[in-house]
Amino acid sequence: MKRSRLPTDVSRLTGEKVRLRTPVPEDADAVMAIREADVSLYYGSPDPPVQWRREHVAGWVNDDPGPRRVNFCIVPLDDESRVVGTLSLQLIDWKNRNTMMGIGLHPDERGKGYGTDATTVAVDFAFDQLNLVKVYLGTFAFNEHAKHVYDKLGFVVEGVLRDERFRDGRYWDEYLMATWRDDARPSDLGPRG
Amino acid sequence: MFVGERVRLRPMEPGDREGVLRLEQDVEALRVRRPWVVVPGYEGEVDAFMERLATNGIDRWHFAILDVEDDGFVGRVVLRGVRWHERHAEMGIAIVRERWGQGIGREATELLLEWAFDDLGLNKVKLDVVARNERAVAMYERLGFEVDARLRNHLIADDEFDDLLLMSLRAQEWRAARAAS
Repeated sequence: MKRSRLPTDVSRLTGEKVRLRTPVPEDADAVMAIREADVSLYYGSPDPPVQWRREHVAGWVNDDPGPRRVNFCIVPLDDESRVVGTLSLQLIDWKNRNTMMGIGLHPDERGKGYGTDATTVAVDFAFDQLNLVKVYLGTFAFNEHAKHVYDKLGFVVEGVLRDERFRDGRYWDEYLMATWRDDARPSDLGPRG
Repeated sequence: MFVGERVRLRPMEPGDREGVLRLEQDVEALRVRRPWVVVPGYEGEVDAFMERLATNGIDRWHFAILDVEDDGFVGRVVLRGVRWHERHAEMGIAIVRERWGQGIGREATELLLEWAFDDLGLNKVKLDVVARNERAVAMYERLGFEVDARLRNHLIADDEFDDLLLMSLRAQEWRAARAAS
């Protein structure tokens, strides 16, 4: 990428509809509301399905997540006082250059393109700023909307973890999906695009 | 339980330190087992691992694999990452390189699975293996493991991408295969 002047958005975290920003302690209530309302987080978490604790959310908005994780709040560009969702790049594997993405969106904010836009911004951030080459995620068969969004963004299904999650009296299969930086080579990456 | 024709499993003990160190310092074996970061284990790391054995027994169990003939250390096997509400666990195994190709890994894995399914009552045992380790993949397939996912370009080893295979074996499949044999 040829650059003639300094960028104005240093962190490259602005899309067409939303911006990703680092959580601050004041986000605790909004993040708690998203945790409680987004059913995909209930199914997606490998932990036993107990209610979210305020201490965990406080930790999420306050604490340094360490070198293997980046947490973001998703805020719409037309009203940055609202937090409509959360997004994390986790299990960052710097050596093998991949990361797992997790996203939560408040049900009231669905269908507005926020999830699609936030995912696009996060994948570009992972490739262009973190210099990773692969972003992957897990989703469930009943979450057809999420799967459709990831399909549209070019994620492909890499496999199905049989009976991976136990909820509501039965096991559910988890779908693993991934997208790759299209010019990716193990090392010596050329410019993108 | 824990005793086969060639090997037996015994909960790991402080005296297994030298055997574990040997496994972790065999660079040629590491190139096969985990080629994405080939770095020999150092003694302090193994000491810390041996210290943690004292707290095993809730969600992870390390075993030494011993030759039934002379009780010599021939490898290690672990069941870890147990998620009780889903009744899943992950397994991992390493055999000393001089004893590769003798069916030791296969028998030790069978002993571990028998315990995991019949005694612990687990529903699924999972593992991951780098695709280029074809001998290990073939062994797991012979034991009934299926490839759930082939994670494309998930690893970088020797400046080449490689795939990571996620494999699993469910209790009902394991029981059906055992009843058939």
